[in-house]
Amino acid sequence: MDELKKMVKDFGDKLYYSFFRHRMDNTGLTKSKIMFSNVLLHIQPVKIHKRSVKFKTTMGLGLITFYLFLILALTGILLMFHYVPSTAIGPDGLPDAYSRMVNLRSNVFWGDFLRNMHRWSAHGMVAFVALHMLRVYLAGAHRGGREFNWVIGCILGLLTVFLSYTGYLLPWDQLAFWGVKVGTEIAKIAPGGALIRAVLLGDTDVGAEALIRFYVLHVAVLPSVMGFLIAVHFFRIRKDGGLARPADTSKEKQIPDEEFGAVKNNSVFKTARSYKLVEIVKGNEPKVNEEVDQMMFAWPKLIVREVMVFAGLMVVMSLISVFFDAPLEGPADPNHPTNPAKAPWYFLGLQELTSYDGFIGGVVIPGIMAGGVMFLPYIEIAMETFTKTYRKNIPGVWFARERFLENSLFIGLYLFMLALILIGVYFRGENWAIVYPWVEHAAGGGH
Amino acid sequence: MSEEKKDGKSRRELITMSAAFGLMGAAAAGAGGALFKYMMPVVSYGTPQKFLVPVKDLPEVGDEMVFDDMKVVLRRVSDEEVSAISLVCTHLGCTVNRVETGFLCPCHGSQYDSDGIVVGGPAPKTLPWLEIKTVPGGQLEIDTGTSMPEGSKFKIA
Repeated sequence: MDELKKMVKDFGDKLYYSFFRHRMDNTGLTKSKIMFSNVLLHIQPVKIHKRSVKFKTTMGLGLITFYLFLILALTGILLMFHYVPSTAIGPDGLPDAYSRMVNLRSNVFWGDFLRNMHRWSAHGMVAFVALHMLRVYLAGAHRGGREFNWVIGCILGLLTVFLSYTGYLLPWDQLAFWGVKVGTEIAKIAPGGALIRAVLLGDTDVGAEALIRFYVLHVAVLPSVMGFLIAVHFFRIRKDGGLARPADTSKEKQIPDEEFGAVKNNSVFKTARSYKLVEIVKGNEPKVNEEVDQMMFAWPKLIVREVMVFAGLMVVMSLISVFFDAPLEGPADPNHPTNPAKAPWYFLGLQELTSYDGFIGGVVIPGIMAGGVMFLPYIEIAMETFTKTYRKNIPGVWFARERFLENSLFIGLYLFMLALILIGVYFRGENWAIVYPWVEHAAGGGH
Repeated sequence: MSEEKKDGKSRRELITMSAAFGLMGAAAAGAGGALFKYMMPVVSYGTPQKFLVPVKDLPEVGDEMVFDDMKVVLRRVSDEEVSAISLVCTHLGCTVNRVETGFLCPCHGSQYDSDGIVVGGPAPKTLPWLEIKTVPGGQLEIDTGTSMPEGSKFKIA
């Protein structure tokens, strides 16, 4: 009997070690091995700066944006099982794409929930991209070797907006039709825009061809480009030196010894604190960080925090999706826009701008803003180089005094966009006339 | 002087590299151009530009008829004459609404008077006045793709 027990245990061990390449104890060796023998975990470093897990460092904004992308990919694939990108009028008198939305809402089990989740996550992703960008800028984390990654991030932000835009065409409701109509008219007045418009629409006007093209862009082209750039973005975070932090953190409070676990090999070190990969990597000289006292194992603290953020996000998104239905306007009517015809909130700032002048508000100002923000770190570098101001860069410090001017301008830009959006949402009524929300509730759109 | 630098190896390298990159560049440019052409639409599935109205269906003098699908308002100016104005906003292409004072756009608030002349909002120009032709069989053909001077009137027969 004991013999059998031993053999079962032996077999179990063999199975375990074929799945995992590490034990499960509290030593530094195990903590390291867990991180770099797991395909999902090895994207992150084995050891991180203690600042990295502090809430004030990132506020988890980039992480939440990435999680929303994952939720969107998953719910999006599920929605594809019930969707047809066709404008043909079905037996119920509705365009196919639209009647599939009605079907998802009223018949399909969980269809309503998944569609809500997809729509609200998309809105959330746009918002969190904006917040993440604000955080990075105000903390100066776009400088000190991270300039290129800022540009990648800006492209990811534009892709997020474009994914939202291609996505809200798909239900083929009024919002979809007139959003695309106006958007592609703006493209038409941009230089070279007639060609872009023709390629996007596949016809002379918004119609069946446009739906197919936007569908392919939305479900295949843009997500794969985005997935690739996300990988580049993450890769560069590590290659550019990890999360931004001040040059010298050695004076900051140290991590207590007991948090590192015991060392069970013959190392001269008594705690796992003072080495990085020395216990695993065999070489002449392990790279010893000068800030060893501030470095901690990513397992389990970082991973636990990441899982907690994910769990919290899922709870919040699920609650929102249960209690609030994603908007669906009437089926697309190519002859009559709704009155007023409002874009989703994140485009209402642009709509407000175009309501003063199509070319300046729809092409020039957004173009300057997108380009300016994207190349902002390089503009800063150019200014510093040509005016010979060699100042200390303060990456990883919120509201650094040396960056007062830049930070104020950037916050100003955000407030400007926010004001435009609020005007668009609350102060525009029928025929885009100014209304006061305390007098008359601004109808339509804004979602 | 320059002879020294041009030893056989670097020259060969230069030729090889430029040939390789040149070929790859040409292939990429060709493929890109072909792809662009592939994406450009060649046929239109949309609504036709021109449509017909029988003369006997015309409204009374001074009245108007709105053609929803074609986004056109047809106006009987006199016994003999009609004119047509497009309902597509010259700003960003929304359909304008006919109101008592003229036309209003629900998308960005452009305002036109009854002749389609801009009186407010972001619209850059007058609503297009359309060309009308008489065709055999007592019908009028209205071409939504045209843009005539404002006030253009056309004889019914």
